[in-house]
Formats: sequence, C-alpha cells, structure tokens
Amino acid sequence: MSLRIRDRAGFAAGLLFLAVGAGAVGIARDYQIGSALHMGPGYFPIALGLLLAIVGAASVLRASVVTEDRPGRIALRPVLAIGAAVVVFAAGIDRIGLIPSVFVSALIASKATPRPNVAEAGLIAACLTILSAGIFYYGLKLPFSLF
Amino acid sequence: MDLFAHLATGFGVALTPDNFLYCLLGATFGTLVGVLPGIGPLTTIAMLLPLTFKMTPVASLIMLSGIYYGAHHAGSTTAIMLNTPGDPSSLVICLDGHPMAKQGRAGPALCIAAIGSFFAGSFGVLLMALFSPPLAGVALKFAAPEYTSLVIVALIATVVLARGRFLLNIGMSLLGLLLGTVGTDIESGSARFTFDNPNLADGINFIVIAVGLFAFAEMISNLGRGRTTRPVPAPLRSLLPRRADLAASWKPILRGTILGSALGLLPGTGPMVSSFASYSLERQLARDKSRFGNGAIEGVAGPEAANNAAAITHFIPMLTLGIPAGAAMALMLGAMLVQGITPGPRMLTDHPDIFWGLLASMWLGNLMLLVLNLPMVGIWIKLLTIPYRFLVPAILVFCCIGVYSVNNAAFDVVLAAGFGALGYAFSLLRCQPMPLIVGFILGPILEQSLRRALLLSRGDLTVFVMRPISATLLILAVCLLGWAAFSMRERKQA
Repeated sequence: MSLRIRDRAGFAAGLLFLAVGAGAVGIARDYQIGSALHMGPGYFPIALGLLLAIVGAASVLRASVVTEDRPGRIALRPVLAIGAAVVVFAAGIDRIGLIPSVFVSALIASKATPRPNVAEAGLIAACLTILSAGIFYYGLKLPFSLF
Repeated sequence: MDLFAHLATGFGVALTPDNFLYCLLGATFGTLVGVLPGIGPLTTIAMLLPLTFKMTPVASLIMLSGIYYGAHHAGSTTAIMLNTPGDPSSLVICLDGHPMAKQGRAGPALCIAAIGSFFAGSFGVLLMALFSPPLAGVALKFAAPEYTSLVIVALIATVVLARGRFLLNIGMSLLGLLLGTVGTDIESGSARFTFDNPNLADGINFIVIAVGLFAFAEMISNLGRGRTTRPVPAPLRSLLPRRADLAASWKPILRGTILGSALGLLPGTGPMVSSFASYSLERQLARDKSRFGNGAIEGVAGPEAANNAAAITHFIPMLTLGIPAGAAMALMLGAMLVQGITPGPRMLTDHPDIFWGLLASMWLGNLMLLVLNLPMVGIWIKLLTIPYRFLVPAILVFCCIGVYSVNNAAFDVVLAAGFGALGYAFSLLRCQPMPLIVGFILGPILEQSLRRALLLSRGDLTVFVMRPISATLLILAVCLLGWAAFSMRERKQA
C-alpha cells in the first residue's frame, strides 16, 4: 500500500484535529485528573483531547486510502481584507472611538470585494458610520465613545 | 382544557403591542435577509443577537425566531425567481421553482410556496403546543445519568445526520466540546486553557464563535467564490394559481408537512434534509417523473412545506429538553442563556409566559408572512438586485459592533476574526461547522451531568446502563452509530 495522500482535505483536517487534540492533552496534563468519582478539572478535557487526537489520526490514515475531491483553493484577498478590517476595528474601538473605527474598517472591508471602487467605498463607509452611530450610540445608547 | 388556557396566555403575551411589533420586525427582517444575497439566517441571528440583549427575554426570543422562520420563508422566493437559494434549505426549490418561473408561472409557484409554508408552519405550531408539555413532563423525571445519556444521543445524532463526512463531523463535535471547556472550571475553580488571559477566564462567549464561524466565514467564502454577477429575475405576471395547481399541490403539502415535522425533531437533520427528503418522496410518488426538474408544482409545494414545518418543530427539543437540534437552535439557546433563562423541561412551568408567548408569536409570524410576502413580492425582488459588495462592509461593521458590545472587549472581536479564518479553513476542508457549535453549547452540560451522575453512583460507570431511560437512550445512540456504519459501507459498495 502506498502512502500517497489521496484525500487532501481529509488529511489536512485530520492533522488539525490531531494537533489540537494532542495540544489539549499536553496543556491539560497539568490539571488535576481526579477519579471517576471525583472528576478533577483535567478529566473531561484530557478525555476529549485524546478522542480528538484519535479521530484526527484516523482521518489522516484514511486520507491515504480514499480518494476524495481536492480542498477548495484559498481566496487570499477576502481572508486578508476581512481579517484586517476586523482587527483594525478591534484595535481602534477603545482608542480612537466608534466613528473613525467604523469608517476605516468599512473602507478596508470594501477591499475584499472584486474590483473595489474608492469613491463608492468611501460613500458606503460614510453611510455606515452615520448609521451605526445613530443606531448604537444615540438609539441603543451602548457605551461607546464616538471619537 | 389546559391547552386553551395556555394558548390564551400565549396570545395574551404575543399580542401586547411591544411583542407584536418585535414579531413583525423579526419576520420582516428575516424576509429581508432571506432575500438578500449572501446573508443566511445564521449570519443574521449571529449579527443581531447583541441587539436583543437589552430587550425582555420574551421580546428577544420572539424577534430572533421571527428572523429564523422569516428567512426560511423567503429563501424560496430567491430560489424561484433567481435560481439561487436564499439559504441551503431552499436548494431543492430551485429545481422546479425556477423552471416554473421561466415558463411565466412564477406567481403560482410563489403563491403555492406561501400557502404551503403557512399550512406547515401552523401545523408545526400545533404539534409544539400538543407535545411539548408531555415531553417536558417526561424530561422532568430525568436525573443526571439520563441527562448525560440524552446529551450523548444528541451529539451522536448530530454527527450521524449532519451533512458531510462522518469522521470529520466527529472531529468537529469533539472540537466544539473542547472549546466549551475553556475558562474557569465551575467545580474546582481552576482555569483551563486560558493561557493566563483574563479575557478567557469566563470562557469563550458563544457569540464570538457564532459570528466568526458563520458570519465572517460565510462572507469570506462568498467573496472567494466570486459571486458578483446577479442573474436577472424571471418575469412576474399573475400571482394566483390555477385550480389545477391547487389540486396538484394539496397532497404534497400535506405529506411534506408531516415529513418535515418529524425530521425537524431530530438533531442534525432539520429543514434542509426535510426539503430534500420531501422532494425525493414526491418524485417517487409521481406518475410522470420526467415532469420533475421541468417545473412540477409538486416539487415546490412538498419541499417548501417540509422545510417550514421542520423549521418550527426544530424548536421543540431545544425548548423542552434544552437540546439544540441544529446550529440555529444552538444560537437561540445561547441567546436564552444570556437572558438568564435555561431552556429545558422546567421552562414550561417556570416561564410559561415565555414558552406560550413564543409559540403564539410563531403562529402570528407565519400569518404575517403570508400576508406580507405575497403583496410585497415586488419589493423583495428589487432587493435581490443589491450588489453583494454593498453588503460586505455593512455585515462586517455590524458584526464587529455586536461582538464588541457583549463584554465591551476588543479581545472578543479579534478572537471572532480568528474563528472567521478557522471557519473559512473548515469550509475549504469540507468540515461542517454545525456539529462544532452544538458541541460547544452542549459541552458544559455534558461535563456537569457526567460529573454529577458519577458522584451519585460513587464512580460506578454502570449507572448509565442500569437505569432504564438512560439505557434506552444509549441503545438509541448505538443504533445510530450502527446505522451510520452500515450506510457508509453501502455507499462504498455502490
């Protein structure tokens, strides 16, 4: 039997499960396990981690036997743009306030779409800023600072 | 009779001006997002959850469930008019609904879909009213061992019946359970998987996971697929179906309703599986199978009824047992926990106003959808043409504000971004997020009842098989696993 990877999606998912499971067991080793009668904080996580690692290993092994369709191609542009927009919002909200954070974040999010248009993005961002300040700050009175 | 008294309470709650308004708002909003391209019911619920925290528990539940079934109703509109399903459960409506529209019969298709939905929704509500009290009565007798077994059955059913590959579903479920252990252990007070970060001391808020895994990930996948060009809607002439359409539809609607009501109860199946099952049933029963795929009205009536019946009966296990039967129900359960209400058998006795109010509002909401959707279908179709690039910044900003406002923690927003990336990776690897979110919600319940059960039995594991209800549930779990293994072998041979 050759160990060629035929099911790449299953292989990658299996590796992920294996890594997370093994990692969880590694970290939870320091927690008290206890006994079945008095389960410590480590009992449940270690059991889950072990099971997850086993499922991950099984999925990795299965990947060399079964042929499935390939995993989807990563669309890097939306991942980066959406990720950046969210992180910018998170970084800004406590420091520069709601209005600049929403505006900048919406501008970056527009970059995720194909063929972004700067003028259009600016207009959308401006509308969203006014709308969110109106709804969340003035309407629902959530504790944000505007600037 | 008790039932009428309960229903009277329910309508009393649902018909107060505030609650009625929230019901209308929820149903309208659900329809709106149901027709908007690229936003499904899960994204909407995740996005709007934080807005509901300031409402009363009843109002927030009424509005969230309105969004949920509203979006299910509306999904068929886009399927018929544009051949793009608004949500996965209306995928099959495209098969015959869109051909009907192309033949100039969009009106009758929409009308039959609306009538079928309303009938199925009403039937679902009736079932819920009749069967929830006895079911909760049984569940009230459950002690820790029974609850442990029930949660195990639910998790296994989710894994077996969910779409996608069995092994990967198990992994996702375990991952969800593991994520549920993050935070301070209630019994010992020691911190688990917190990496000394105070933001994780109370565990991961489920809204962070929901927004990341559903809203953000869905947005990235949509953009990655490059769904930018919008098809042109089919022409809409007369709304009224012919007499022959009605004659051909009533039986499929009835069958779809019954099938959907049953499948909606099971964890992991829900609306989508129901609509598929109903479609294949109607095809099997049809004398002339070649009509299917070319605009057979049965192929619209049956699945649409099934999917709406299931959308309602989906609530029953969540409300009476505290077991969410799908991702949307896991989100609803999370919303209730945030409001300080634990769904489960005690809810019917402790918060009868909430349970019966919600139930009554569901029927009212379905009625509103019938009245609203048909005359306003022209407006909804206009909305279909909004380009996705306008929606992306809006969804993103509202999600960020929502996640932030739960704990006023910027850390949560970053964490949600991380779950968004993870969720996108899962979609590339064909892992379903549904078992994960159900596992995440049920994890703490499983651990607590397991601990309590073993404490009561003095560490004796046989307690789970010695008690009759618990043993029955576990046998059910084994049967489900056996069935899964069997059907996997079948598929391999085929």
